[in-house]
Amino acid sequence: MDIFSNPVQYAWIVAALPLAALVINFFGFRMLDVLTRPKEVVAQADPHAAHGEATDAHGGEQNPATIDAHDEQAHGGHDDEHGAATGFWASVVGWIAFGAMLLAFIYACLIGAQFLGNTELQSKGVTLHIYDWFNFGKLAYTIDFHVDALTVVMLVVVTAVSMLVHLYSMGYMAGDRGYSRFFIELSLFTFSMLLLVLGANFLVLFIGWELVGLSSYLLIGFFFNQAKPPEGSEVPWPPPAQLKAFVTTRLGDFGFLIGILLLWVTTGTFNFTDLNFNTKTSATGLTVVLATTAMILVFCGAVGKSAQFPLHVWLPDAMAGPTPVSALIHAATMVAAGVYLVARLFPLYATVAGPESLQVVGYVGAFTAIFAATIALTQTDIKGVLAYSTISQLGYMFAGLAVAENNTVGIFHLFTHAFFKALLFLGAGSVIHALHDNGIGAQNLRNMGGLARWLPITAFTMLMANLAISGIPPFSGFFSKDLILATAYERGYMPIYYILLFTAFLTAFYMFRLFFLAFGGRGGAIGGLWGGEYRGIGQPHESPWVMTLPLILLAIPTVVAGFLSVNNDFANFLTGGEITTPYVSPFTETLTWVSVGVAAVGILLAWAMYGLEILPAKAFTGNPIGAPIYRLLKNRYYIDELYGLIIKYVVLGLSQGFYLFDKYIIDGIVNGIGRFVRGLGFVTRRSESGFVQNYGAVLFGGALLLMIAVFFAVGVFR
Amino acid sequence: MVNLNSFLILSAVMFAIGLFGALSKRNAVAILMSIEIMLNAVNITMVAFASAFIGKSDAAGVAVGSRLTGQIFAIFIITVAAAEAAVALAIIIGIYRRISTVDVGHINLMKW
Repeated sequence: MDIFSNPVQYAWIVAALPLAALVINFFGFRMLDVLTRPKEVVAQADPHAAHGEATDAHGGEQNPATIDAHDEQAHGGHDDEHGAATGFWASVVGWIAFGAMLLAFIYACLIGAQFLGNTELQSKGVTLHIYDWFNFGKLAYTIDFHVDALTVVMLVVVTAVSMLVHLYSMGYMAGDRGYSRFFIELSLFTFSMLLLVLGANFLVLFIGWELVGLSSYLLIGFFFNQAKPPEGSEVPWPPPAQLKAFVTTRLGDFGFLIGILLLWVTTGTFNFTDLNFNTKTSATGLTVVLATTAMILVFCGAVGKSAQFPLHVWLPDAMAGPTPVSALIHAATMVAAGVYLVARLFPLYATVAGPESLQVVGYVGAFTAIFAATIALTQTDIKGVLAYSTISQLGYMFAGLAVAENNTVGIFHLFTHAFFKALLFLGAGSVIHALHDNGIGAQNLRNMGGLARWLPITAFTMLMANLAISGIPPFSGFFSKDLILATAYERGYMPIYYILLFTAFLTAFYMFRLFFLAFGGRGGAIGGLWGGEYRGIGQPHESPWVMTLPLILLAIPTVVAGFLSVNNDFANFLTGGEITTPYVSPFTETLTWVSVGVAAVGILLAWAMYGLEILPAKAFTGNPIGAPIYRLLKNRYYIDELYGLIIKYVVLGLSQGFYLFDKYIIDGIVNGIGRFVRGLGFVTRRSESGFVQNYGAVLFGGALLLMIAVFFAVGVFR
Repeated sequence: MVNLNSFLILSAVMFAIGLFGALSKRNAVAILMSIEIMLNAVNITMVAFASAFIGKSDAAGVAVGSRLTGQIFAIFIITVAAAEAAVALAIIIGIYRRISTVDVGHINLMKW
């Protein structure tokens, strides 16, 4: 059949499958689930016992103060009550969503297989016309999909990660009252991202872009009725966190939209292919200055979506959502959108716009990389460390896009990062799942330690991902990170190179700090790498197979995906075989061993501090120089507080000013007119006395005046 | 010498007196009387013009005073004035019976 022999022509199927699952589940099985599931039982007798677990099932640091602060308001419906079995219809919803994603993944792989070896297809791609949206005059707005090598890479990554996250969620969310809602929102999230990736013009991309924002809003606030954590808790509270994610990304979207419109006004097209390849030759009004401005504005959207400084603040709070959602956001769907956007418009950045546009991208990326990495050093929340590492790695991707002569370097890091970051988050979720039954702060690294004894699969796969993100050969992260560093060095971006090199050291350190704190510790095997002192309460347990299987499956590309770059295979796939520079194996370069050495130093330092515990952390944070730096990093450079102050004083001050302006100037004018007319009426109403005699007097007085006027006119008095 | 202008001046004076009375008096009966004076001032004008122009022709040779138009109008006005006075007095008496006053300032039943 044509669908199988020429799958590119049916690429819309990939996006249609999650959409179909969404519709079927939303209008069908979700209803059945809601109707058939048992009424929620609210325990009245002992709120402490009943809600100790439920309150912070996914969230919080659990301590007696937390429980006390919670017990009254915690009585609202808790969607995340564990222990109960998943209802029949709820699991049907889950399996349909997972099945749709599995089919979508298989189909994406079919498309990928068709692209392999077909350089014509790789370089040109195929544009599919789906629907005429509306036309007027010369303007035609169409829903078009464009499938080229970049799209295929994204399709495979998104469907693969999403499919595994679906599978994992069946274990992680088991027994949750919001089980079916969760899978519907996951389907929406994946569909949005696929739409974004498939779009052939800005309109389709922007629809996907905003839908991704909406579904991330829904999923970050999945536990929307969770009780407010106590003051000073490190765990974000879902309701404000979801709003923060939505509003912060919207700030970037403002620039993005202006950029789109600027491009559209000057070139008259939304189409990526036209914009990328025809703007230089055709007689459009797109000057270099305009193009540079527009591209920097478009990059603002990417800054918001991909959580770059200064709009990074939403991503750490986004961990308020369930952990599989964090994995999806951080690996494939949400934050990858910004990188994808820059990669998609790369010819515009590189050839049409001035060099400033890519310099902005590169320096924002590099700064974000080191900025987030330093924060990650001090975080004690397992997902917090991972969140900042994501921000840091996204900075790497942008830097990789900016320093290279094509988009392959940045996209390759996106590709490998998707797998190991999904693995890291799912592993973290497995840890949280293992601990949260014990009634302790399940996300806090201080309550972990030695978990490798109980969670061998999780620990082993996490170790793989840690080695990959640290850039240790031959794991995938090594290849992609080394490619970025080497490109930056070769093309003379020395500041970016040194920043990223130092970030590589920080990355290795904080990732292994996390690993040792969670899975290792003093007294463990292999010098504290495997097992050790457990600081929590109770007995952790390994997760069920639906959760460990995705970990194992993700560990495979985490280890081997880097070899795709051998012989420039990945770059050739993306560009249709245009790469002419001969491939140099990273193992033969001295530069490589510098970055590997730097990473190794980071790992060994973490080992000494948290594995062997021969070098206490107090040595760094205890002295008068280290303590303020530690406080600064621990409080995330006080960026959130700074934004709070800006909002409180600048934004609210401005709005107060505008309020006063509105009240006294605008309203003053309107009320003044009213008052003037009132006053005029007050004066003139005396003429309307209601006495006919007065009217008669005026009438005859008027007649008299007329008469006199006529007399003057005819000259009687002359 | 009594000529047309004398009649017209008398008429104008009477009209002005009547007008002043009609506009300034508060008593409804006095207003009615003032209106009668104004009507009679008009009557004088009518009769004066009619008698002054009887048997005269204008520049085109058309007779202008050949008929008793003015006098007939005057009689007609007197008739109407009599009827009007009767009706008005009836209304005034009716009002007086109802609210015990003929001051127009107090007759404001229909004022909004």
